[in-house]
Amino acid sequence: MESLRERIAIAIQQSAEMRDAHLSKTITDDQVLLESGLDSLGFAILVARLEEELGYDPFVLMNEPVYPKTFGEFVSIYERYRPAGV
Amino acid sequence: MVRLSDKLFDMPDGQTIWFAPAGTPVTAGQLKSAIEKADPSLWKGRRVRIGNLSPVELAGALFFLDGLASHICLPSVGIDGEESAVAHHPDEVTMDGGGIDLSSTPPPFPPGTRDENPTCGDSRSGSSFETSWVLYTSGTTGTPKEILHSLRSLTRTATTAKLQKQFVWGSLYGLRRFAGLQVFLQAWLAGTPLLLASEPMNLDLTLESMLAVNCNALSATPSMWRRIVMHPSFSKLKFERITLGGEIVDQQILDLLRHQFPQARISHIYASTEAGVGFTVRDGLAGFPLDYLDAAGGRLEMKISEDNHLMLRTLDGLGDDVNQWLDSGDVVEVRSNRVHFIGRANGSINVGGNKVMPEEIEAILLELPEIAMAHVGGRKSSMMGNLVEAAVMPSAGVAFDAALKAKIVGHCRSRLEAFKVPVFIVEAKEFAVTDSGKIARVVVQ
Repeated sequence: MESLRERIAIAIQQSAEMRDAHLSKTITDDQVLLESGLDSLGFAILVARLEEELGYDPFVLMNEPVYPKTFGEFVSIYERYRPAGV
Repeated sequence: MVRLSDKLFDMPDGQTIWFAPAGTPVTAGQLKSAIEKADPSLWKGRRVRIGNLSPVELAGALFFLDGLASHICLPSVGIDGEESAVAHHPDEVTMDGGGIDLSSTPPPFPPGTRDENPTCGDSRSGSSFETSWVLYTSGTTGTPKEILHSLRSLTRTATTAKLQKQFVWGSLYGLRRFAGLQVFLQAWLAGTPLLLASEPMNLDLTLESMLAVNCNALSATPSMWRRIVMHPSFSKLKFERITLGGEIVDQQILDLLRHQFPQARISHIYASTEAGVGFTVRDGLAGFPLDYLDAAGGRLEMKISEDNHLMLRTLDGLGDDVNQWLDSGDVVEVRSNRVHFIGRANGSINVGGNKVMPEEIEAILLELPEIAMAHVGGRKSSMMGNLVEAAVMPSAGVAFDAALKAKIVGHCRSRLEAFKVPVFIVEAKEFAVTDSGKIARVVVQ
């Protein structure tokens, strides 16, 4: 089974396609999300798709709100709020 | 009669009143000189439509035309910079680039628009029009609807406190939008320089200019604030005044901004474009206190109707009948002594501050022969408030598969602005209809 990181990377590609944006094939941890080709609508689509696929939206779950700037921060937020069994 | 430019001619020439989107200052002296050079006879008493003007020219034009033109019409521009399809009025003249110029050598006026029979004297100072400001809002059919304002109604909710020159306001919205216009007028009344928004808005440029001009006050939608928070420049920004509005304000973004800017005054604003009224909440909590219903402050009165709509009334009247309540179209609910906004009664969807009418998208979907029925609604998004979801029933013999979804997205993309293209496409087996035979719309948040 794909890791959470891989699933997120795939979802980013799909969300970019949805917005007709083209991303580089490999995304590194220090890639700034808003510079990845995803605009804010694309980013909202990404979070909504991941909720559909993973069953949770960490931005709803978090008590102390944090917004990620890089891909690495984004993945770590999903890891931190991952419910057991996902 | 109060005119927008009344205060201008008392100001020292060197005072900065605006910054162009790239950060270049515009002084009171430059605006005075541009107004003095412009020929008022072309525009006096006319219905003037604002055409293709740069942000600084547009700002200057508003000062020039208020009190001179009978109407200033501001057709909205979409996020992609396209002017919305507002029909031209038969008597109107359009002000395009050069209408009012703030450079040292103004280009000539557009030809052929001179009024042969001016209705009053021939200098701007002799005119006495109470100019109507025409803004446009989407009606229930998605067709832009004309909303008439006056300078008085547009500034009714503006604070009259002199807001000190230590503030520099930023803006993310052009002056053709209600939100942009309100920030513009508020900054002017408060005597605060304003960094004008680029059209279409470019966040990298805007934030760079904000840092360059020490912008410390900004008004934006919650979705736009989330986008700013994610920007690499966010940690460098130093806001002292923060305002949120234009869509439902959630607790999360209020907390986040409080955390980053502990000293800032954070306000969220409820405003109704139709009514030109609104109020401000400053206690850091989403929604507004229940006791605002009795005393929202100023001249506004509110109540909640039996079907949970927020109803508005002002002491000086919103329509012909002073006692008439106006339905804001906003559905609210009361929880622990606070009134919370739930969504729009007509089913319209707010995508990051952009209003989307489901009917418009449904009509586009039904252009495809593969689709028998379509229903569009909002799905809640932690990032944009809502995203568009389409439930479709395929025509007989058509499979609901990836190819159909791709076709739907492609078709919508070719016909609609990006934020209107359905993000989710689901198959519907049946549709709920109301007693009148219409598709039942649910209130979305």
